[in-house]
Amino acid sequence: MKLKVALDLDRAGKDVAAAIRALLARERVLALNLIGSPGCGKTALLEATLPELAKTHAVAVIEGDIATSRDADRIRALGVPCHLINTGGTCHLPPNLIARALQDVDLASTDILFIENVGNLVCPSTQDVGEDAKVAVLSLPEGDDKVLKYPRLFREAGCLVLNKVDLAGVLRFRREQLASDLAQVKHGLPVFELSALTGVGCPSFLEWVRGLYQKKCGRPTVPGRRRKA
Amino acid sequence: MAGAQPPGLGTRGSGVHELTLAQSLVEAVLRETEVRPPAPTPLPVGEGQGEGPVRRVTAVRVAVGGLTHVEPENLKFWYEELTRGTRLAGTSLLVEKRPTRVRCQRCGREFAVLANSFVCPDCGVADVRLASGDEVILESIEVEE
Repeated sequence: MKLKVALDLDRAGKDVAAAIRALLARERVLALNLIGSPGCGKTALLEATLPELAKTHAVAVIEGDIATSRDADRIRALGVPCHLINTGGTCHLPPNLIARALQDVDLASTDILFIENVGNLVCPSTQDVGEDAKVAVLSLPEGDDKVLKYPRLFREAGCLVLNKVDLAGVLRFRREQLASDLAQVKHGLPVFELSALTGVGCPSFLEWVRGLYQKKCGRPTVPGRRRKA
Repeated sequence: MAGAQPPGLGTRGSGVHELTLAQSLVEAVLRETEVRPPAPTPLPVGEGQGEGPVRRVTAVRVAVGGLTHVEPENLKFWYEELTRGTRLAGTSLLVEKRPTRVRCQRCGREFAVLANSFVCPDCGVADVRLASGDEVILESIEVEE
Protein backbone atom coordinates (compact mmCIF):
# COMPACT_ATOMS: atom_id res chain seq x y z
CA MET A 1 0.00 0.00 0.00
CA LYS A 2 1.31 3.40 -0.93
CA LEU A 3 1.15 6.40 1.37
CA LYS A 4 1.35 9.62 -0.65
CA VAL A 5 3.43 12.22 1.20
CA ALA A 6 4.80 14.87 -1.23
CA LEU A 7 6.91 16.63 1.40
CA ASP A 8 9.75 19.01 0.51
CA LEU A 9 12.59 17.86 2.77
CA ASP A 10 14.16 21.33 2.78
CA ARG A 11 10.91 23.05 3.73
CA ALA A 12 12.47 24.23 7.02
CA GLY A 13 15.38 25.94 5.27
CA LYS A 14 13.11 27.58 2.71
CA ASP A 15 10.83 28.83 5.48
CA VAL A 16 13.77 30.42 7.32
CA ALA A 17 14.90 32.11 4.08
CA ALA A 18 11.39 33.48 3.54
CA ALA A 19 11.29 34.80 7.12
CA ILE A 20 14.65 36.54 6.61
CA ARG A 21 13.40 38.09 3.37
CA ALA A 22 10.31 39.42 5.13
CA LEU A 23 12.40 40.80 7.99
CA LEU A 24 14.78 42.59 5.62
CA ALA A 25 11.84 44.06 3.72
CA ARG A 26 10.28 45.38 6.94
CA GLU A 27 13.61 46.84 8.02
CA ARG A 28 14.29 48.27 4.55
CA VAL A 29 17.62 46.56 4.15
CA LEU A 30 19.11 45.41 0.84
CA ALA A 31 21.07 42.17 1.26
CA LEU A 32 23.67 40.98 -1.24
CA ASN A 33 25.22 37.54 -1.00
CA LEU A 34 28.81 37.45 -2.34
CA ILE A 35 29.82 34.05 -3.70
CA GLY A 36 33.10 33.00 -5.30
CA SER A 37 36.16 30.81 -4.96
CA PRO A 38 38.72 31.24 -2.19
CA GLY A 39 41.04 34.02 -3.31
CA CYS A 40 38.81 35.47 -6.01
CA GLY A 41 38.73 38.78 -4.15
CA LYS A 42 35.41 38.92 -2.31
CA THR A 43 36.89 40.69 0.70
CA ALA A 44 39.07 42.85 -1.54
CA LEU A 45 35.95 43.90 -3.46
CA LEU A 46 34.35 45.01 -0.19
CA GLU A 47 37.52 46.85 0.81
CA ALA A 48 37.59 48.60 -2.55
CA THR A 49 33.94 49.64 -2.53
CA LEU A 50 32.57 49.95 1.04
CA PRO A 51 34.36 53.22 1.95
CA GLU A 52 32.79 54.88 -1.11
CA LEU A 53 29.38 53.27 -0.60
CA ALA A 54 29.40 54.28 3.08
CA LYS A 55 29.32 57.93 2.00
CA THR A 56 25.74 57.47 0.83
CA HIS A 57 24.45 54.33 2.56
CA ALA A 58 24.82 52.73 5.98
CA VAL A 59 26.59 49.43 5.31
CA ALA A 60 27.19 46.29 7.35
CA VAL A 61 28.76 42.91 6.63
CA ILE A 62 28.23 39.32 7.70
CA GLU A 63 31.47 37.42 7.10
CA GLY A 64 31.39 33.67 6.65
CA ASP A 65 34.62 31.76 7.07
CA ILE A 66 35.49 28.24 8.06
CA ALA A 67 38.20 29.53 10.38
CA THR A 68 39.94 32.73 11.51
CA SER A 69 38.73 36.30 11.76
CA ARG A 70 41.08 37.49 9.02
CA ASP A 71 38.40 38.70 6.62
CA ALA A 72 36.28 40.17 9.42
CA ASP A 73 39.32 42.05 10.73
CA ARG A 74 39.85 43.60 7.30
CA ILE A 75 36.22 44.76 7.18
CA ARG A 76 36.29 46.15 10.73
CA ALA A 77 39.49 48.03 9.87
CA LEU A 78 37.33 50.02 7.42
CA GLY A 79 35.10 51.07 10.30
CA VAL A 80 32.25 48.95 8.94
CA PRO A 81 30.20 46.84 11.41
CA CYS A 82 30.93 43.19 10.76
CA HIS A 83 29.46 40.04 12.25
CA LEU A 84 31.67 36.98 11.86
CA ILE A 85 30.33 33.47 11.40
CA ASN A 86 33.00 30.79 11.76
CA THR A 87 31.35 27.71 10.33
CA GLY A 88 33.99 25.33 11.66
CA GLY A 89 34.09 23.40 8.42
CA THR A 90 30.75 23.87 6.76
CA CYS A 91 31.31 24.96 3.17
CA HIS A 92 28.49 27.51 2.96
CA LEU A 93 26.27 29.76 5.06
CA PRO A 94 22.86 28.12 5.54
CA PRO A 95 19.82 30.32 6.20
CA ASN A 96 19.56 29.35 9.87
CA LEU A 97 23.07 30.69 10.56
CA ILE A 98 22.20 33.94 8.77
CA ALA A 99 19.01 34.22 10.84
CA ARG A 100 21.05 33.84 14.02
CA ALA A 101 23.65 36.37 12.85
CA LEU A 102 20.92 38.90 12.05
CA GLN A 103 20.05 39.03 15.74
CA ASP A 104 23.41 40.76 16.21
CA VAL A 105 23.14 43.12 13.25
CA ASP A 106 21.65 46.55 13.89
CA LEU A 107 19.24 46.41 10.98
CA ALA A 108 17.57 49.65 11.97
CA SER A 109 20.88 51.40 11.26
CA THR A 110 21.70 49.45 8.10
CA ASP A 111 20.79 50.18 4.49
CA ILE A 112 22.88 47.61 2.68
CA LEU A 113 24.05 44.32 4.15
CA PHE A 114 26.74 42.31 2.41
CA ILE A 115 26.96 38.62 3.20
CA GLU A 116 30.38 37.33 2.24
CA ASN A 117 29.90 33.61 1.88
CA VAL A 118 32.48 30.91 2.49
CA GLY A 119 34.86 30.70 -0.48
CA ASN A 120 33.23 28.05 -2.68
CA LEU A 121 31.65 28.07 -6.14
CA VAL A 122 29.34 25.16 -5.44
CA CYS A 123 27.39 24.86 -2.19
CA PRO A 124 26.61 28.52 -1.41
CA SER A 125 24.85 28.75 -4.78
CA THR A 126 22.26 26.20 -3.64
CA GLN A 127 21.33 28.13 -0.50
CA ASP A 128 18.67 30.81 -0.45
CA VAL A 129 19.51 32.88 2.62
CA GLY A 130 16.82 35.49 2.01
CA GLU A 131 19.14 37.79 0.07
CA ASP A 132 17.93 40.19 -2.63
CA ALA A 133 20.63 39.09 -5.05
CA LYS A 134 23.59 36.80 -5.24
CA VAL A 135 26.76 38.45 -6.54
CA ALA A 136 28.99 35.97 -8.34
CA VAL A 137 32.66 36.91 -8.06
CA LEU A 138 35.06 35.33 -10.54
CA SER A 139 38.68 36.34 -11.07
CA LEU A 140 40.71 36.09 -14.22
CA PRO A 141 43.31 33.61 -12.85
CA GLU A 142 40.54 31.06 -12.23
CA GLY A 143 40.05 30.65 -15.98
CA ASP A 144 37.43 31.46 -18.59
CA ASP A 145 35.71 28.06 -18.41
CA LYS A 146 34.02 28.33 -15.02
CA VAL A 147 30.50 29.37 -16.01
CA LEU A 148 29.51 26.05 -17.54
CA LYS A 149 31.49 24.07 -14.97
CA TYR A 150 29.58 25.68 -12.10
CA PRO A 151 26.38 26.74 -13.85
CA ARG A 152 24.12 27.05 -10.86
CA LEU A 153 25.91 30.04 -9.33
CA PHE A 154 25.91 32.01 -12.57
CA ARG A 155 22.27 31.17 -13.25
CA GLU A 156 21.23 32.30 -9.79
CA ALA A 157 23.39 35.43 -9.71
CA GLY A 158 22.05 38.95 -10.11
CA CYS A 159 25.39 40.10 -11.50
CA LEU A 160 28.88 38.84 -12.17
CA VAL A 161 31.95 40.67 -10.90
CA LEU A 162 34.96 39.76 -13.00
CA ASN A 163 37.86 40.68 -10.75
CA LYS A 164 41.62 41.09 -11.29
CA VAL A 165 41.33 42.54 -14.78
CA ASP A 166 44.68 44.23 -14.04
CA LEU A 167 46.23 40.78 -14.67
CA ALA A 168 44.75 40.42 -18.14
CA GLY A 169 48.11 41.08 -19.80
CA VAL A 170 49.78 38.07 -18.23
CA LEU A 171 46.88 35.61 -18.46
CA ARG A 172 45.08 33.98 -21.36
CA PHE A 173 41.51 34.64 -20.36
CA ARG A 174 39.15 34.52 -23.35
CA ARG A 175 36.31 36.92 -22.69
CA GLU A 176 34.44 35.50 -25.70
CA GLN A 177 34.41 32.08 -24.00
CA LEU A 178 32.94 33.64 -20.87
CA ALA A 179 30.34 35.51 -22.91
CA SER A 180 29.23 32.47 -24.90
CA ASP A 181 28.97 30.35 -21.74
CA LEU A 182 26.93 33.05 -20.00
CA ALA A 183 24.59 33.16 -23.00
CA GLN A 184 23.77 29.49 -22.38
CA VAL A 185 23.04 30.04 -18.71
CA LYS A 186 21.66 33.52 -18.22
CA HIS A 187 20.90 36.06 -20.87
CA GLY A 188 21.61 39.66 -19.96
CA LEU A 189 23.50 39.01 -16.72
CA PRO A 190 25.27 42.29 -15.85
CA VAL A 191 29.05 41.77 -15.85
CA PHE A 192 31.33 44.22 -14.03
CA GLU A 193 34.95 43.93 -15.09
CA LEU A 194 37.02 45.48 -12.36
CA SER A 195 40.13 45.33 -10.27
CA ALA A 196 39.65 45.53 -6.54
CA LEU A 197 43.40 46.21 -6.35
CA THR A 198 43.53 49.27 -8.61
CA GLY A 199 39.90 50.31 -8.24
CA VAL A 200 39.28 50.36 -11.97
CA GLY A 201 35.67 49.42 -12.78
CA CYS A 202 34.44 49.64 -9.18
CA PRO A 203 32.16 52.68 -9.76
CA SER A 204 29.97 50.71 -12.21
CA PHE A 205 29.47 47.95 -9.67
CA LEU A 206 28.56 50.52 -7.01
CA GLU A 207 26.09 52.13 -9.37
CA TRP A 208 24.39 48.74 -9.77
CA VAL A 209 24.27 48.25 -5.97
CA ARG A 210 22.82 51.72 -5.39
CA GLY A 211 20.25 51.11 -8.12
CA LEU A 212 19.09 47.90 -6.43
CA TYR A 213 18.83 49.71 -3.12
CA GLN A 214 16.76 52.50 -4.59
CA LYS A 215 14.46 50.07 -6.32
CA LYS A 216 13.81 48.19 -3.10
CA CYS A 217 14.03 50.84 -0.39
CA GLY A 218 14.00 54.32 -1.91
CA ARG A 219 16.15 56.94 -0.23
CA PRO A 220 19.00 55.77 2.00
CA THR A 221 19.54 56.64 5.64
CA VAL A 222 21.68 59.73 6.00
CA PRO A 223 25.04 58.34 7.13
CA GLY A 224 25.80 59.20 10.70
CA ARG A 225 22.19 59.23 11.70
CA ARG A 226 21.62 56.31 14.01
CA ARG A 227 18.13 55.26 13.04
CA LYS A 228 16.12 55.24 9.88
CA ALA A 229 13.13 57.49 9.58
CA MET B 1 17.17 44.87 15.53
CA ALA B 2 14.57 47.06 17.15
CA GLY B 3 11.05 45.70 17.05
CA ALA B 4 11.99 42.93 14.66
CA GLN B 5 11.24 39.31 15.37
CA PRO B 6 14.13 37.04 14.49
CA PRO B 7 13.23 34.32 12.00
CA GLY B 8 13.09 30.80 13.37
CA LEU B 9 16.37 29.14 14.06
CA GLY B 10 17.00 25.60 12.98
CA THR B 11 19.75 23.42 14.28
CA ARG B 12 20.41 21.82 10.92
CA GLY B 13 21.95 23.02 7.74
CA SER B 14 25.53 22.04 8.33
CA GLY B 15 27.74 19.06 7.78
CA VAL B 16 27.65 16.62 4.91
CA HIS B 17 24.74 17.62 2.66
CA GLU B 18 23.31 14.16 2.04
CA LEU B 19 23.68 13.30 5.73
CA THR B 20 21.60 16.32 6.73
CA LEU B 21 19.05 15.44 4.10
CA ALA B 22 18.94 11.78 5.17
CA GLN B 23 18.27 12.90 8.76
CA SER B 24 15.27 14.94 7.60
CA LEU B 25 14.12 12.03 5.47
CA VAL B 26 14.31 9.44 8.26
CA GLU B 27 12.48 11.73 10.67
CA ALA B 28 9.76 12.37 8.10
CA VAL B 29 9.30 8.68 7.29
CA LEU B 30 9.06 7.77 10.98
CA ARG B 31 6.56 10.54 11.56
CA GLU B 32 4.43 9.70 8.53
CA THR B 33 4.16 6.03 9.42
CA GLU B 34 3.02 6.42 13.00
CA VAL B 35 -0.56 5.34 13.50
CA ARG B 36 -2.28 7.67 15.89
CA PRO B 37 -5.53 9.52 16.17
CA PRO B 38 -5.41 12.89 14.47
CA ALA B 39 -3.72 15.23 16.96
CA PRO B 40 -4.31 19.00 17.05
CA THR B 41 -0.57 19.67 17.06
CA PRO B 42 2.16 17.43 15.66
CA LEU B 43 4.52 15.82 18.13
CA PRO B 44 8.04 17.23 18.25
CA VAL B 45 10.41 15.42 15.93
CA GLY B 46 11.72 12.19 17.41
CA GLU B 47 8.97 11.90 19.98
CA GLY B 48 6.62 8.97 19.74
CA GLN B 49 9.28 6.91 18.03
CA GLY B 50 9.09 3.32 19.19
CA GLU B 51 5.88 3.96 21.08
CA GLY B 52 2.41 3.22 19.82
CA PRO B 53 1.45 1.41 16.67
CA VAL B 54 3.32 2.05 13.44
CA ARG B 55 2.96 0.93 9.84
CA ARG B 56 5.57 -1.49 8.58
CA VAL B 57 7.58 0.26 5.87
CA THR B 58 8.95 -1.61 2.87
CA ALA B 59 10.16 1.18 0.58
CA VAL B 60 10.58 4.94 0.44
CA ARG B 61 10.43 7.00 -2.75
CA VAL B 62 12.28 10.28 -3.06
CA ALA B 63 12.52 12.62 -6.07
CA VAL B 64 15.65 14.78 -6.39
CA GLY B 65 15.60 17.90 -8.56
CA GLY B 66 18.40 18.44 -11.05
CA LEU B 67 19.62 21.66 -9.47
CA THR B 68 20.05 20.33 -5.97
CA HIS B 69 23.57 18.83 -6.17
CA VAL B 70 22.25 15.81 -4.24
CA GLU B 71 24.01 12.61 -5.22
CA PRO B 72 21.53 9.67 -5.05
CA GLU B 73 24.08 7.01 -4.08
CA ASN B 74 25.38 9.18 -1.27
CA LEU B 75 21.85 9.76 -0.01
CA LYS B 76 21.18 6.02 -0.03
CA PHE B 77 24.41 5.41 1.88
CA TRP B 78 23.41 7.77 4.69
CA TYR B 79 19.83 6.49 4.73
CA GLU B 80 21.14 2.97 5.28
CA GLU B 81 23.52 4.16 8.00
CA LEU B 82 20.87 6.14 9.85
CA THR B 83 18.19 3.47 9.71
CA ARG B 84 20.45 0.67 10.95
CA GLY B 85 18.99 -0.72 14.15
CA THR B 86 15.72 1.21 13.73
CA ARG B 87 12.37 -0.07 12.49
CA LEU B 88 13.32 1.29 9.04
CA ALA B 89 16.37 -0.98 8.79
CA GLY B 90 16.41 -2.90 5.54
CA THR B 91 13.81 -0.74 3.80
CA SER B 92 14.67 0.31 0.26
CA LEU B 93 15.21 3.91 -0.65
CA LEU B 94 14.33 4.60 -4.28
CA VAL B 95 15.76 7.87 -5.56
CA GLU B 96 14.56 9.33 -8.83
CA LYS B 97 16.65 12.16 -10.29
CA ARG B 98 14.41 14.62 -12.10
CA PRO B 99 15.62 17.12 -14.68
CA THR B 100 15.46 20.80 -13.93
CA ARG B 101 12.51 22.43 -15.67
CA VAL B 102 12.38 26.09 -16.59
CA ARG B 103 9.92 28.44 -18.26
CA CYS B 104 10.98 30.87 -20.96
CA GLN B 105 10.18 34.45 -19.94
CA ARG B 106 9.73 35.44 -23.58
CA CYS B 107 7.48 32.78 -25.08
CA GLY B 108 6.26 30.92 -22.00
CA ARG B 109 7.49 27.52 -23.17
CA GLU B 110 8.41 25.12 -20.38
CA PHE B 111 11.32 22.81 -21.10
CA ALA B 112 13.80 20.48 -19.39
CA VAL B 113 17.37 21.68 -18.98
CA LEU B 114 19.77 19.38 -20.81
CA ALA B 115 23.56 19.63 -20.62
CA ASN B 116 23.26 22.77 -18.52
CA SER B 117 21.86 24.83 -21.34
CA PHE B 118 19.05 27.14 -20.27
CA VAL B 119 18.53 28.35 -23.85
CA CYS B 120 14.91 28.17 -24.99
CA PRO B 121 14.57 25.84 -28.02
CA ASP B 122 12.11 28.28 -29.59
CA CYS B 123 13.62 31.68 -28.77
CA GLY B 124 17.32 30.74 -28.70
CA VAL B 125 17.83 32.88 -25.58
CA ALA B 126 18.48 31.84 -21.96
CA ASP B 127 15.94 34.06 -20.24
CA VAL B 128 14.10 31.68 -17.96
CA ARG B 129 12.47 31.24 -14.61
CA LEU B 130 12.85 28.05 -12.63
CA ALA B 131 9.74 25.83 -12.75
CA SER B 132 11.11 22.90 -10.75
CA GLY B 133 14.42 21.28 -9.88
CA ASP B 134 15.39 22.84 -6.58
CA GLU B 135 13.52 20.34 -4.41
CA VAL B 136 14.09 17.05 -2.71
CA ILE B 137 10.64 15.54 -2.25
CA LEU B 138 9.59 12.62 -0.11
CA GLU B 139 7.04 11.36 -2.64
CA SER B 140 5.59 8.28 -1.03
CA ILE B 141 6.12 5.43 1.39
CA GLU B 142 5.27 1.80 0.65
CA VAL B 143 3.78 0.13 3.72
CA GLU B 144 2.33 -3.28 4.43
CA GLU B 145 -1.46 -3.45 4.57
